[in-house]
Formats: sequence, structure tokens, C-alpha cells
Amino acid sequence: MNRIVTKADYVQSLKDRKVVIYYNGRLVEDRSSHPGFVPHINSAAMTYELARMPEYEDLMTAKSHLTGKKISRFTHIHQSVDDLIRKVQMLRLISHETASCYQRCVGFDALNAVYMTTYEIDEKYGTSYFKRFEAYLKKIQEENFMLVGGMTDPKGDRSKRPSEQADPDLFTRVIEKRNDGIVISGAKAHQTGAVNSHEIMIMPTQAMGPGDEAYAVVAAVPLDAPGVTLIFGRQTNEERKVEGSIDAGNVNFGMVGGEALVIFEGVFVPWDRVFMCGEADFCGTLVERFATLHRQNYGGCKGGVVDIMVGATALAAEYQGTLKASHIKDKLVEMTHLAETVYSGSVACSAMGSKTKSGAYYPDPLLANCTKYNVTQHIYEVSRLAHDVAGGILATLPFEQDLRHPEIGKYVEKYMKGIEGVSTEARIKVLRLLENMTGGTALVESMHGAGSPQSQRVMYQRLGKLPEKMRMAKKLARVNE
Amino acid sequence: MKRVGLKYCGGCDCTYDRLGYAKRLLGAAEGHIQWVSMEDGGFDTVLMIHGCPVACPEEKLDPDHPWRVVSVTDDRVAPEEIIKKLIV
Repeated sequence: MNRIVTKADYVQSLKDRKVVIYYNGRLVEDRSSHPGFVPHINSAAMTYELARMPEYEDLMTAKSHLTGKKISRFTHIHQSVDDLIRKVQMLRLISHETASCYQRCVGFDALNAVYMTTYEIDEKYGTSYFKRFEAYLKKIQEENFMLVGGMTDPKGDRSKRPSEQADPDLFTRVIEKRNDGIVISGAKAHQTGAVNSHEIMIMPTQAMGPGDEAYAVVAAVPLDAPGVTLIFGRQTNEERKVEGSIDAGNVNFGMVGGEALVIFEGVFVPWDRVFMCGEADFCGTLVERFATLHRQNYGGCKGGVVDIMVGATALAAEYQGTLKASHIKDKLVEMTHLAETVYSGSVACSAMGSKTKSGAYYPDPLLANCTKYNVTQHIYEVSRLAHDVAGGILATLPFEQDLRHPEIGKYVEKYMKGIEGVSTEARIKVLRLLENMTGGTALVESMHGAGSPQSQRVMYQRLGKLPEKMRMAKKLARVNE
Repeated sequence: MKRVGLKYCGGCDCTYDRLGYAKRLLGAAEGHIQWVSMEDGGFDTVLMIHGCPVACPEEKLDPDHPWRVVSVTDDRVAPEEIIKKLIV
């Protein structure tokens, strides 16, 4: 593939690589121009465009530790604590430009998690995954294509292990090993950015035990490989995006990432793209690494998204003449507090990061989990406050077509008007932006993206150092038993 | 015309309109300064435009760097004053 530098390169690359995608029951002919995908393409394209601009390149690019060349930070392996912090800063920056999910962090985290873990698999088993993965890493750094981080399996009956499922494909698995590669079947669910990506890095979804070896597989699969099918997921009010109207709220960019179910039916993967095959004892390590790296992000990207929500809420208040009321100012202060709280978590887990055996740096896992857990709660509270300040009009605004209507438009214009000096249309645009960011899909993504809150609580139990805390308490209480 | 290196921070969380100010500054320098990137070289003075007082790129400069650095972290100083400092 030619190196992707500009938005135009990126869009053309999507057009050139034909992927089997279904949207609302129909096979998509050209994914690069499908109206359901364009907002997500625009969001991801910002990761390319900002990297070209001197005003942003300090965060958007990095120096490859493999080649010494300037590369997109989204293909970089963290070489220091500073790199970890820059990642979080970059995410906040891009959120300011899109108020959305730009999808590339998932593949970014997959690259780092696989890099660290393959090194340790080789150390234990004498395999050659790490070298193989370095070759793949050079390729993605050079070509700058977009990678999906494919972790979440459908999982079927959650009370059963992968090998105990009635349908063995409910966890992605190796169905055949050949001299030249492996054949996989199964699916990955909720895959952010999949319809506008080039490849997917499949990884196990959970820790595996004896008997689950076929499910212990990591491999990079081109999305246009034979046997791969994508089914795009519905989102709240997606027809508004297709209409391209101001009712969409943030018409240029997606509400969240644009998720899809990715199905693998007998997909062949050559060995040079396989980075784990049967080493079930490393699945837990890989999952924890990926989850930590991904949870690290959320105070950066959601912190930036909340910045836009605070701004839009303040504008909504200003346009209806309530901005100076003390309770409104107090609510804006609370929203700001929540944004900075999640951001500080991301910075903190990065600052407390450490070097792994591979040389790559890794955030503090307990703090990263705290950050994501805060996001699952704080975004809802921020949204509640936004709704409180904006008022019921957020849920009852007429359609844009009513505003434009030759007969009734004058009523919308007259009765939706706020303060003097601000047009009704401007007020509607701000309210629609707020509606778009504070309801439905946007909230669910904050809850479940990078793992549901219960998975973070499980990590607290594992990483919370309870015996050590009990020991300290006993010492202070002078308990010797 | 004087060659001056121009370096921006990444702009993660600016405390003022960094790019708006930079635009004014570059406008005020027209005819006086030739801006070049840090990779270009051939300059002894660098303007660093930061979005906040943390000033990340300046913080990360090699202590033995050879340049005279003029640093901007807010928009309180008139662009013309900054230009004067650069072309001294």
C-alpha cells in the first residue's frame, strides 16, 4: 500500500480496498462515500490531517524507535513516560477538533500491547513472534494504514469458557493450522472504526485456560481478506447524519466511532501475520495490557469531548440569557471539575508508567482503570448537568425542515428565539450539538468502551493491594495478631 | 530578511486562542522575518508558540541548544513587541 499522508490519500485507500460491509440490510458498494460512514471517515481523517500541520505535529507525530523516521504517533511504541503523556495530550487535542471518537487509538493500543506481550512469549517459549511483529510494525509505520484493535468476542453464554460454548465460533478461534499459515473463524463485536479501516488485529478477549488453546490467537488480518464480512451497528438518530442537516448536531463527525460486527468465516492468515497461536497462558497478560493502554486514553479523549460539552452548555445558557445566573455558573464549574478529574487520571497513570521487558512503556494499570471507571460515571453526570442547564427545548426542538419551511418557518424563528443578537438558527445549532453529545449512543460508549465498569472493579480487587493496606492498618493500630 | 525558526507546541489544551494569536504574529512579521521549520536549520533565533505556560517543546530542548529562544505562552504581549525581540 502507498503511504497514507493526507485525508485524500486515506479516502482513496478506502475506495481502493473493497471490503464486504452491510449497512441496514444492504451491501455497501463504496465505503469511502457512504453517507452512514462519512462522519466516521472525517473523524479518522483528522488524525492524518493534523499530523501534517506544524501547529499540531509535536503531539501528532513521533520518531520511530525502529527506523528513526517521523511517523504518526498512532503507530508508535511508547519509549518513555513522556510518550505516554503525549498520547493523552494528543487525544484531548483531537477531541477538541472533532467532539467525537476518531477510532485510531484502539489499533494504537493493540500495537503496543502485542509488542510487549510477544517479547515475553518468545522469552518463555523460544518462539519468534516479536521479530515477526517488528516487521509488521515497520510496515504500518511506513504505510500509515488504519488498524482496528479487535478484542471483544461475542462470548455467547458468559458463564461458560470458550471451549464449552454450544457454538464454538462465539469466540474467535483457529480452525486449521497449515504449513503456510492458519485459518480462523468467529467474530469480533463492537469494532470501532472497522468500516473505515484497512486491517484488524485480532486478540483474545479474556484470560484462557487449558483446553482453550485454539482461542489463544493474535493475528493481523486485512479487512478485505476473503471470508471477512462487516455488519455496521445502528446508532441513535443516525438518519440525521445521513440527511446532513443541522439536526445532526455535529454533522461533519460521528457521534462515536461507528462500530461494526466483524465476522471471520474460514479466513486464511499467513504465519508472518500471526503473533500468538496457542500460548493460552499469555492471554490474560495481553488482555490486561490492552485494557490498561485503552483505559489510559479515556480521560484524554473524553476530557476533550467534555470541554466541547461545557462550551456548548455555556453557549446554550448565554443564548437564552441565563449564563450569569449563579446556579448555572456553578453547574458549569462542576462540569469543568469532572472533565479535569478524568483528564488528571489519564495524565497520572501515564506519569506513573513503567518500562516493560520489551523496552516499551506501560501506564500504571490501577490508575488507568480508575480513570476509565470515573468516565463511566462522570460523562453521565456531565450530560445530566448539560440537560439541566439547556432545558427541555433540547428534547422538543422542531426539525430543520420546519425552520426552513416557507409557511411555518416564521413561527420556529419567532418562538425559538433567545436573546437579541443571536439568531434562532445559531441557538438551534448549539442545542443540537449538545443533544448529539449527551444522549443515547454517546453515553453507552462511555460506559462500555474499553470494558464495562465491572471489569474495572475486578481490576481494583486484583491490583488494589488489600493485604498491604491491612498490614499498614494493623501496624498503626498496634495489632500483632 | 532574518531567518527565524518557528516551533509550535502540540496544542492539547490551550488557555488562549493560540492559532489566532499566531496568525496575528505572522502577519505582523511580514517583510521582516522568513519563517523556517526546525528541521530546515540556518537560523540563530527560534520563536516557540505554546498554548499554555507548561511550554512542552521548550521544556524538552537540549540544554546545550545553540539558539536564542523567544517564547510565547499567552496573548498578553502585542505581536509587534514579539517581532521586535526576534529581529534584534
